Amino acid sequence: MDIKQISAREKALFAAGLAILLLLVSIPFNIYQKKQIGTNPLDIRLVEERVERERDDSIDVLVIGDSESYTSVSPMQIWRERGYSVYMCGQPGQTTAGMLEVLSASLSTQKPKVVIMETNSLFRTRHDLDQLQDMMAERVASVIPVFQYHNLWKHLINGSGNVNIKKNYKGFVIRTDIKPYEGDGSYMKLSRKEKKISRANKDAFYKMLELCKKHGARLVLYSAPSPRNYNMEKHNRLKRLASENHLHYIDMNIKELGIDWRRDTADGGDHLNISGAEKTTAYIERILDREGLVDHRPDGAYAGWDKLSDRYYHYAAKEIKRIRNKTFGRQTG
Amino acid sequence: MGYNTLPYLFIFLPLSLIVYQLSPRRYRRYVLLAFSLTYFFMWSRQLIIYLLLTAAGVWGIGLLIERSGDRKGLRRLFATTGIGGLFAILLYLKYTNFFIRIIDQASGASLPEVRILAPIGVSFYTLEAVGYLLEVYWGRINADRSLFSVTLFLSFFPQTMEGPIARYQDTASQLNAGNPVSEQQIFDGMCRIIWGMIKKLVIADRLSIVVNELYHNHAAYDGIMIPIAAVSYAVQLYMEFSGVMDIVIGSAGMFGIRLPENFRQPFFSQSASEFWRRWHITLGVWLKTYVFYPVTTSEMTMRWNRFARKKFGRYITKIGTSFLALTPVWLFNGLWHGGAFNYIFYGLYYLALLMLEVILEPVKKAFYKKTGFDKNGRAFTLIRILRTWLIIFTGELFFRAEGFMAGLSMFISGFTNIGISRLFDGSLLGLGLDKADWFAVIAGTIVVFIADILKEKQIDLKAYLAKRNVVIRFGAYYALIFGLIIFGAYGAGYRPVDLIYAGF
Amino acid sequence: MDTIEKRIEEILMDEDDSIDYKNEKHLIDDRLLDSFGIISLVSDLEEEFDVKINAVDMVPENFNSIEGMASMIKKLQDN
Repeated sequence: MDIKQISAREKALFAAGLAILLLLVSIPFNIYQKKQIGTNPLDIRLVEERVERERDDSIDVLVIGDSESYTSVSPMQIWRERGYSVYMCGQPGQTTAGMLEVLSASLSTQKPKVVIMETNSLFRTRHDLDQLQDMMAERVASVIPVFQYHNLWKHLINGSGNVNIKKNYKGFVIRTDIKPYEGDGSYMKLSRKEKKISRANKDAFYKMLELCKKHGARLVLYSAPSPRNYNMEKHNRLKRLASENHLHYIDMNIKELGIDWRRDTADGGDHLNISGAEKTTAYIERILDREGLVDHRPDGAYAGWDKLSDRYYHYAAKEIKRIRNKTFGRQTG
Repeated sequence: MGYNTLPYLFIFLPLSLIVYQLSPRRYRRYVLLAFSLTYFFMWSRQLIIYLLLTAAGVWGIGLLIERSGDRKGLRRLFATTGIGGLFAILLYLKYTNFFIRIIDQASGASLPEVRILAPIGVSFYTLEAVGYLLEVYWGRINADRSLFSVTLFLSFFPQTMEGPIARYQDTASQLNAGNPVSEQQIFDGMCRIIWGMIKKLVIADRLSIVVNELYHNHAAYDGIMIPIAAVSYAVQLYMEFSGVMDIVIGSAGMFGIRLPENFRQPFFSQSASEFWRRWHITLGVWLKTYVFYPVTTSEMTMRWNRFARKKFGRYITKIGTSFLALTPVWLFNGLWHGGAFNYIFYGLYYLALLMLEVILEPVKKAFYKKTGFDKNGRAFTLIRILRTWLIIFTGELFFRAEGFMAGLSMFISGFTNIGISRLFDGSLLGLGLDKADWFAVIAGTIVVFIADILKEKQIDLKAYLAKRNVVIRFGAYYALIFGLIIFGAYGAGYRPVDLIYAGF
Repeated sequence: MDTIEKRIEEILMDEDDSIDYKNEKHLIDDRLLDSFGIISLVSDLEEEFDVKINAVDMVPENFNSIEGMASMIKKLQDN
């Protein structure tokens, strides 16, 4: 197309048309969004949408973090053994900014008594340019709603039924791979040094702390067992962060939880598989026992949780047994 | 700052265009260089040192080769030193850990792997630099006297991440010309960028979720899921790589700089060799110009030719020559993608297929002659295209697999427990994409496929639209823009996906 | 003795006799000659005319037509 042959008027018309359309198209999305998800004006990422699908004020414990979190705390196990209602909001590669977003969105529909934060994200730094990208995306989306809510077209095809519920147990992901961690067990080598937490992450952390206080939730920090991600320098820093703010910090990397590093990790010491997660979850249960939470199992309103946990155990119990009975070709001590 | 990100599209690119256009013509090339170095610098403060060293070295050696005049030995010495040095840096940055692993495995030692920065862009500008030195050595171009110009040729920002791999004679004079930005260029560039973004954001970024799941947890999948893995990755890679090329070529086009095309509707290829003339074209051209031809015209090949022609006749001679010339090409192709056995296998796979083409050629000719079938009839053409698809999909399965053994076990498990029913029982929804995502992937792929058919038939859609009335014209462009905005995989529940080829 | 052009045509016909080489000006661009065809062609030409064809000569202009090949060979013979 020869652009020179097009009159200035037509070009102006095209631009004006585009601007009007952008706003017009935003309207139905905006209305549909409000109808679907209540009145929450916040960004709707998948996890937040899922939390919102939970009955209001039905969750007692929220877990936030990255993939280390949703491979180490299993809400279904806690439900079966204690009856506490836990929701896992961990997201792959989660940043502290993302955690803050998830937390504040979740707190608009839930009144948790405890918020458990997996600490790995506190050491994740993002490239300045990625932050700029996020900021720009947010800005554009807040001015032109269609950028914010464009994914709602998917509801037309998916219906508003639960997405992916089969693999999703209140946010927990069952991993069944076994890939041994080959390093030596003493990855928490003694050190007095501290790993730095970036300014942006510290800011986000204090905002989350503030938010928890405001909503009357107790914040608990924990580090999932992961030779790939943790060391003594991080432990030292986190310990200080916790004591400065009078928080409880559990570092599972120095606790004796009986993690078998040949069988209990899915990917060579980065994440736990379901067998490892069973052990860490059992420990979390004992921590939660001190919080005076209510056993909801007798409550009929939680019948759905029982059904889901049946399905969970049907699969998980088998897999845990398989993993723990696995023998290795060459036994090397 | 990938080419698909907002900071690039809405800050970096417009800013560079404005500064470029407002500068006096003779300074424009410096503007391009400044922005290119800034772009590089933002990626990595260390890699830019390699780039500048490379540029200075290539510039100096180019001049030395030229000054050597007719002294053949000296020319050769300089050229060998320069090219050797370039490959040495590339080897160090890309393959150190690969070699350490091989040594470890062979000797049972456990040398620590070295932490080396991800060599973004190095693979691409190294090939351009080698090409430049060879052209100067052959006397096909004059050595560039300006260090600025050589640096700009190697670092022009749209090309740094994924190519296209340009020859010096293709782009250098355009980069230096300082041609003005025109409205037409901006319009064409924008159209192309939007089209590329659709391919990446609507299709490739969605498929990347499926692909990551299938290849990462490959042990959990067999039967029909393996062809799905193969096709998904081939489609993802095409949409992603050709989509980014649209953005790259569109960006450069806004400055009036025509970069060579990298794709020509590869899925209409009728053979493996044709596929490589339509897929990652600039890599194919580079290999042909700087590896294939030097080997085919080398003394060794000629000696084989003379010897074999008398002894074995034409047919065997041709097979032998092809083998001599194609082996280095395909080993290079495989290894260039990275130090891993699945890439080497990928190279050897195509080597074997191309050799098969040479070997079977007389059989094919005889078949069509004897049966009297029309070689170019529709049915045969379609069969050949589908056969090439099979070749492509199988190749990409091994290419993407996480290690050669993983590729092999995936390939084998594709033949067990086929379970076609899994296509319909919701298994596909367990891979991270919901129904709507699959709909977007499939609808998007069909749209791109139709566009490719039109291109293949040389129907110019833009020219066609220009002749329609305002409503249709506006409607078409609005549809593209809103297709991208609404169906793009960004925001809620998606995260940005890095460029694939930037990793090579 | 035949002209260079005539001898080139004979070599080409030897390889594939279904093409009208005299009038074909885009042997490479139209892919009538592919890279494999060129390999044997190069060795034939080298033998026939006793010249050395190098990688630098491998450009489409030199192989697109009989005239192109002839002028390349004349140049190489002069060297």
